[in-house]
Amino acid sequence: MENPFDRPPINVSAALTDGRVPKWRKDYLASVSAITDEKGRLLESLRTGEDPTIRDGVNLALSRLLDSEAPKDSFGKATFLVHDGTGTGKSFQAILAAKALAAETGEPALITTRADLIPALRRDLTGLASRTPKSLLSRSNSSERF
Amino acid sequence: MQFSATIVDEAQDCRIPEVRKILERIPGSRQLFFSATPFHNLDEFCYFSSKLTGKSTHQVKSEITAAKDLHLAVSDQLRHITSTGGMLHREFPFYGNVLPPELLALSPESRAAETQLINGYARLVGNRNFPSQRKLREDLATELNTASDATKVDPILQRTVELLSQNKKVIVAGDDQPVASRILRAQDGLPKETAGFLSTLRLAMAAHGIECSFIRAFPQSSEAIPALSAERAAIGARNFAEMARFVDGAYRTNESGQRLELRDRDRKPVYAPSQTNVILLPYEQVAGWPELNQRFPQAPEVSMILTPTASADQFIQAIGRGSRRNSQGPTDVHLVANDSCADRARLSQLLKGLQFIATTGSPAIAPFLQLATDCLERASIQRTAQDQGLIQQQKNQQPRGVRIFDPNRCRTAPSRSGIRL
Repeated sequence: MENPFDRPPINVSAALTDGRVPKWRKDYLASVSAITDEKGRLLESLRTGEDPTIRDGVNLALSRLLDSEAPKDSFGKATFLVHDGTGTGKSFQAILAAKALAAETGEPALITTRADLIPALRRDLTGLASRTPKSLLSRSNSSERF
Repeated sequence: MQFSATIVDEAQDCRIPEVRKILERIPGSRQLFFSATPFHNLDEFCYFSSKLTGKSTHQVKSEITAAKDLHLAVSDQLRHITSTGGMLHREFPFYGNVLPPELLALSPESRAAETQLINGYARLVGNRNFPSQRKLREDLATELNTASDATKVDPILQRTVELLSQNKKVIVAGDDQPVASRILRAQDGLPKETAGFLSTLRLAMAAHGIECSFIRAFPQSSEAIPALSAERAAIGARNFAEMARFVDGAYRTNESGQRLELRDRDRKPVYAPSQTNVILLPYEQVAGWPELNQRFPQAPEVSMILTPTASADQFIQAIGRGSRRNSQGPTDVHLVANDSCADRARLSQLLKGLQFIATTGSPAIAPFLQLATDCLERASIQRTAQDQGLIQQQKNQQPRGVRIFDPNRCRTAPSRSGIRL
């Protein structure tokens, strides 16, 4: 049985729209930095597009959220939904998007998670956050600020 | 304080009205949602669709319900939202084997108890106001579910023993709802108490010398009760420790209590077998425990044993935990059900949810849609056959005297008034 996880996940959106998924123009992850070689490798692999899943997700989300023309809900908020299956890197995308949004707007992002993150991810998160200007990190039981 | 964005991981929680209210109160003009299962019914879809299109939920719902084919209408809306840059959907196909469902027979005693419960609650519901009736219906469902699951303990124990003997790790996902019956009585006359399914299974496994990791569910609605925060924290810490026992790999704990993975000279994670090979996971917690990550080639393959749940979201989340998180190898999925009212109701709800999720084009859904369909169909057929057998048996058991043909009664001519005497 072939292991499907040796390849990037299926792009269901592309299949649904016959490939008419908008393309991102700006790489918002370029502003996200790491503090150690190990984390640097992760970010580097995201940037080089070894597996485009995370980079595409973050950049498409930010393209929408930072677009002044984007539709707003009844509370005046622009919204983006990443409907990715288990194991595609949603938690990484969430953290990197928070970091990129904070860097882009100069305002902290509030991120909520329901459970504890895996230890390695939490370490990466702490490492990323500690490089954020003006020390925007604070922590409560279930939320992180960047 | 203004936030650049509110970012919600595990966004399927937005189905809870309180969560929605809190989200709208957070200052900021952007919201970013992440979920593997954001919607599995129309209401949940309308919530997200409304946010992503700027239309009111009422308008979204009207448009969909006015369409001839609801699923097609949802699919069309998703296509529009995606092509205008509102959402993105990527997914791995299911990696593993979905075995035919194991359908257990319900014993006559269990059937009698089921009937007694349904009839007893029907009496209680009479003359109650609507909120009381709703509560009673929820309680009945809980009692029926727990009673139905109690019949699966031995078969699942046996299946687990078989799988362990094949050097597999086993994840059992199910409910764990203890009940003190409103209807059934113990021998001492007090309400009959039945422990939750997973708790009972854990005891049965311990009696067979099988040590399990056991994840506890948080008390219901406890997020909203500050007084329970300490209890939640204690359960969370305990769950974390239990999960760690099930995960392969070598770890150490640093001074601040953080769990760190040990690595060799080449910086590769060091392999060590897990302390337990069985984990019992309540459905309420399946989305919250991603710590099952293990990528070691030496790690045993994983089998999942699932009992029916009404929630397609929880079912698919559970599958994701097993098949995506746990092993480099394929995962076997076993669904164990019986033909009780509880299981047929849960399977029916599950099927509806899976059908809704399938409209999103999810490639991982197809085998489980088939699994739920097969299981429900077989359970219904088995139940019908048993009911017919029971009726026939009752007929056969009736004393012959009752069926004595009375010619006088049958040949009574109608009176002139037309009323048969």
